[in-house]
Amino acid sequence: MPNRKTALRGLAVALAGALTLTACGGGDGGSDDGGKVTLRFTWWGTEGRADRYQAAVDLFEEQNPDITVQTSFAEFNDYWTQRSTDGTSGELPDVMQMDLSRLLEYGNGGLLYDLGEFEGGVLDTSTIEEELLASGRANEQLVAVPTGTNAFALFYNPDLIEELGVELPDWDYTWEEYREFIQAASEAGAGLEPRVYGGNDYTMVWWMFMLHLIQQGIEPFAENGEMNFTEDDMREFVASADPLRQPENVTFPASRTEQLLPKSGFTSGEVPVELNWDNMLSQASQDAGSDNLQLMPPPSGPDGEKHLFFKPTMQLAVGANSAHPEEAAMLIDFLINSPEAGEIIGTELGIPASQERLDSLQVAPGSTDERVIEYEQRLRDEGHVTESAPFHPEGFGAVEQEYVQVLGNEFGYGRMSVDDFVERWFSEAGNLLITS
Amino acid sequence: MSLTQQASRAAPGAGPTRRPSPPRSRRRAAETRAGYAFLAPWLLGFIALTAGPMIASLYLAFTDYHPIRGGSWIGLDNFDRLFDDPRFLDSVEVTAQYAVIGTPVKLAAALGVAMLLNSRRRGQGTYRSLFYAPSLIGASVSVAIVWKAMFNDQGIVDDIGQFFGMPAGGWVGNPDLTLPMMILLAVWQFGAPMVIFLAGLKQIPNELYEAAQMDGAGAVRQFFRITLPMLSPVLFFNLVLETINSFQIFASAFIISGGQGGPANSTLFYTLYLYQRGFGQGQLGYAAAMAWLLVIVVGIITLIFFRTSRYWVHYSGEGR
Repeated sequence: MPNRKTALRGLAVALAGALTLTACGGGDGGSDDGGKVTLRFTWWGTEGRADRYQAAVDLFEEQNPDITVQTSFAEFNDYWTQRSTDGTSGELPDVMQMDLSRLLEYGNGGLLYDLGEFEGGVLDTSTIEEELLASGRANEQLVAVPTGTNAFALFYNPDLIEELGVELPDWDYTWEEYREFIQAASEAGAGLEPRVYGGNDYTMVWWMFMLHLIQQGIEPFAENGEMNFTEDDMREFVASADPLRQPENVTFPASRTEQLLPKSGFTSGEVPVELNWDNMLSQASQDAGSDNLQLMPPPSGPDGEKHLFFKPTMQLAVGANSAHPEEAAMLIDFLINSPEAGEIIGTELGIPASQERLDSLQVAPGSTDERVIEYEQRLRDEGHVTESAPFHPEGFGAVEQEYVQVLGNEFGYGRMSVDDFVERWFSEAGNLLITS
Repeated sequence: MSLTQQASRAAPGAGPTRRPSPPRSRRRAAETRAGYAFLAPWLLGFIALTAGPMIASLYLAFTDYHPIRGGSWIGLDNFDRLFDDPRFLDSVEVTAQYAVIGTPVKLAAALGVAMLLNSRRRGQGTYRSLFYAPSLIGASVSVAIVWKAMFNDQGIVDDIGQFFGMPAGGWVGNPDLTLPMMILLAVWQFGAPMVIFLAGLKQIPNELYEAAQMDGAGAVRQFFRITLPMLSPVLFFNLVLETINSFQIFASAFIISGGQGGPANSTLFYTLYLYQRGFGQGQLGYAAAMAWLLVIVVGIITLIFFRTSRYWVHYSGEGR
């Protein structure tokens, strides 16, 4: 039967074609055609960050004509979903932005390349303080290089505060004074259109809870991943904002937050203050379209001290599966050490980890970079930085997300009580935190 | 599917006819081989891409597998945990509401439009294409984004709503209004069932309506006594398909809520929660348990539809 034969032959051709196509898809991970190396580099962040990274990468490519860098970026949550699938299939990017809250998950899982072998070679880490560099170690390997440090801060919008006619507390303010400020600002903003509120519910900010614990003398997590705080500690903290919730809730409404996304109440000019990491100031200024957002520290603890700390902002790591770890290390070295890249990146990745770079950094007067550097300098000079960054156990990122996004959202809508919040967080944390 | 079986049973002459060919068994074997050869690409794909992963996920459902840390056998613990998980229960509630409200409304809309388009008028083809268009683009990312913008604060829907006295502030941030918004998005994509209804309507013999008119039956009576019963097989098909579809809603919810299922879990659909657990938190064992539970529940619902269908689905020529 000629018909069937032809059909079968056609089928065979189609199958062969399909197999060839799949074969093409297999050879991923940077081919070395003519000695040229392709690196994949990815990060989370907004367009502002992407512009800075891209400009630095362009310069790197110019200086290293044999290396091509493919860049990509995503929003924070999507970024980690992608990385976890990459990690499972052994396809992590050559260079990726890493966060302390996820480092151990990847580092302990053996998914990150030990950069120790390049130290002193293509990767110069001597410019980074040992304590900061240590934050990139897991299993006694250097699996990530910190890009810089940041400190927690209260962003404020002086123009809006003036419009409200309220008084911003001094640097040595207490939590009680902070609540009073929110109350007063919300009352002053009640008549405005759209209505202005004094602040967000600060107890739903994970790092405020961390800071609260540290101010009570509690180191949040032990080295083995166990929690050093109790349900009562969390309950007391979350309930501390009850005076702002009753009789009338004067914290920024969750529904409004939802509507304004991706902007925040602060960057939309509907809240005069926001608690955030200082390196986020340039992003906030861009979103708000304001050149006049300022920084001050969060409230002081019961002993009148700030108990602040510098935290590694983010890190750069190399996938253990990378075919070109040395070139990847070269890119990291360029990003953290070269003055040209430093000029481009500014304080976007935190105050530069390398002291040399910090000294050589030319910041424009009045720029957000200058404000961030001045803020950290003043914290240092006035002795507000007394702690080291809290230990981030494996699963830190997941419990933070549970606190802020999952439960924080429901709590913000008044769908659960303080007790429910605490109980549910602890029940999830049991699954999410990895203890040894 | 037994629907097609019954349909072919009902159609006389469609069955296998005897052909004059002596070496029947040899010929049949050759035909079978050829049949499998043609099936091979699909079969290979099915085994490698569907059946294999399904079996793997069945195994994972009984482990605490994590993509990076790996996992071990934990028996029924995942299922135990599910029923103590408040967010799981929220996701079941949201999905059930969506399916129970959304499916009938969508089918009603599809049937209504199909009936309007069934009459002979000029430009009917254009109208059919126009009404089908939302289904072509409805599942896309951009439509979900546009939808969100329309229902957002100061979006067009919010403005119209305020004109009619609804409170301002948009639907997106209000947990009581996000589910209706999602249902509207689904209903708007009534094109696929509409086309099927339209085909079903064309099958109804005109004589039935003429006879009914002669007997003095009004439009409403004609609809309930002729259109619905004659259309019941098609209605049944659409109902099963749309119900299963509604349990699988993911993309639009993911985009509109930014993957979070908010506000206050009001768009936390089952598949979205499964995704968060599996790919956001890396609890793939837990996610696999959820997936299998969904398979079982959808299977049971479909079975109930089939079992009850003989009471309300009428096939012409069945002689009942």
